[in-house]
Amino acid sequence: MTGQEGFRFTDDPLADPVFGTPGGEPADGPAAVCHDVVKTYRTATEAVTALDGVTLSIPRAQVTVVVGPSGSGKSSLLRLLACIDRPDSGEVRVAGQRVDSLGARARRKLRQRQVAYLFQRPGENLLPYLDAVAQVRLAADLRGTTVADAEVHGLLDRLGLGARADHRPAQLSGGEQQRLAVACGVIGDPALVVADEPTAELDTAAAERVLVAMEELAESGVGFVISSHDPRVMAIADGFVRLDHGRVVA
Amino acid sequence: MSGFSGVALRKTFTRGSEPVHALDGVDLRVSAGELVALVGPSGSGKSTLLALLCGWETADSGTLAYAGALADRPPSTLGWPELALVPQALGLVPDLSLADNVLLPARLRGGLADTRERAGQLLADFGLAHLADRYPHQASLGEQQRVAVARALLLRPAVLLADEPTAHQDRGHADVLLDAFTTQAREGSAVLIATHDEIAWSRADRVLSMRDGRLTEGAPA
Repeated sequence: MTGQEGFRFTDDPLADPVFGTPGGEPADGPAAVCHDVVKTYRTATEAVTALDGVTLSIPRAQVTVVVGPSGSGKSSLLRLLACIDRPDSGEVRVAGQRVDSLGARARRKLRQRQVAYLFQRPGENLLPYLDAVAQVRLAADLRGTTVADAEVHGLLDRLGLGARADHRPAQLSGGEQQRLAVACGVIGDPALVVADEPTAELDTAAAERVLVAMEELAESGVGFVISSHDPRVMAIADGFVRLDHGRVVA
Repeated sequence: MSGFSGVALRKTFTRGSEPVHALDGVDLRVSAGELVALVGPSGSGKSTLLALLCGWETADSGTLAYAGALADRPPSTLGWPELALVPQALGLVPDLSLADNVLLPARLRGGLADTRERAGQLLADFGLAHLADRYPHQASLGEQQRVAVARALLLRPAVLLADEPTAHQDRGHADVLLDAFTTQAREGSAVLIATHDEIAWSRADRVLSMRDGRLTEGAPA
């Protein structure tokens, strides 16, 4: 598996037209871009360089899978793309907006509007007291948009959750919970859905339904970035980012 | 006003190949105006009973009914103004400030009108006023739990269910929360709290003990 088909490393993301319009949100630019990003974590006794000069572009309407051994920097990259952390140096842009120069409040705002983050454990992505429709509606509300009931139900139908619309998470299987989390992730048209090992806790049939959902929903324009060791996830990848010791490797 | 009752509630799970009778014929009644404590060891079925009462799970058999204004409503259709809960996992929204988490039931209902003042009062009562603009990850577990209790109280629900609501509190804060539950019961709500806190048992109007999926009146021996 060469993994390069369909995925283009942009040698110089600064040449991308998206960087010509600071603060703009061109819908046809990449979902996210990193340029020469360095991220170091300091403990009491040492500094660990998690990302060491990472340059990459995450396209919209595709599934990008981040692979690499434990400690290679996958989680650090995901946290930067999700606007949770800031790099020590280098540039991160999401939907055309600089993330690295934003303060915590502005970064949170950008994240709420443009990024969804899916945890590995399905239950952690959902609120136990809301039924499926209310979860999706709240997700849209938090993204600053309002959606018609028909759109919510249409999305649930598309994910095979039409008959589960009034169910709480406790009444859903792990796979159904994760599909509902995907629905909450894509509602309101964010640029990016970031998922950390989203199938690790699912059996094969459930994982495949989650992955098919992601693959189909990507077509509407959102960029999925998934970190995973799971061959089932790699099978749906349009492109790969391979990390080793905090660097992108071919 | 509303209370609720359950008759012969049964719920069985399968753990591996073993059936587990989480609820093995449970009868209970909690009336409007009452604060009732539900006690019992871990795994005795307390959380399963709360999950049935708030509509997260359905019983295999038996009947569950709400009285008064909520009569004939299946629990799964009841929203925050009618039935509120404090789940053990809290369920705060990470991207909302603590104040906005308290206001969540009003937001879901479709309007914050005249709830801001009550939210501010609850935050002040629970020693959270200075944290209103912080986010859940910037607060301690005890503070997050008090936010979850304030959220449940916001709309003065007819039925209030809480799963170990003082588990992460020191004595002083636990007493403040128990005062708030008592006040809500006196205002006409039916309040049921699952708790290991023996002081909570002494503050309750009644104690129900759960053991091996069965419920008896009174504190455990």
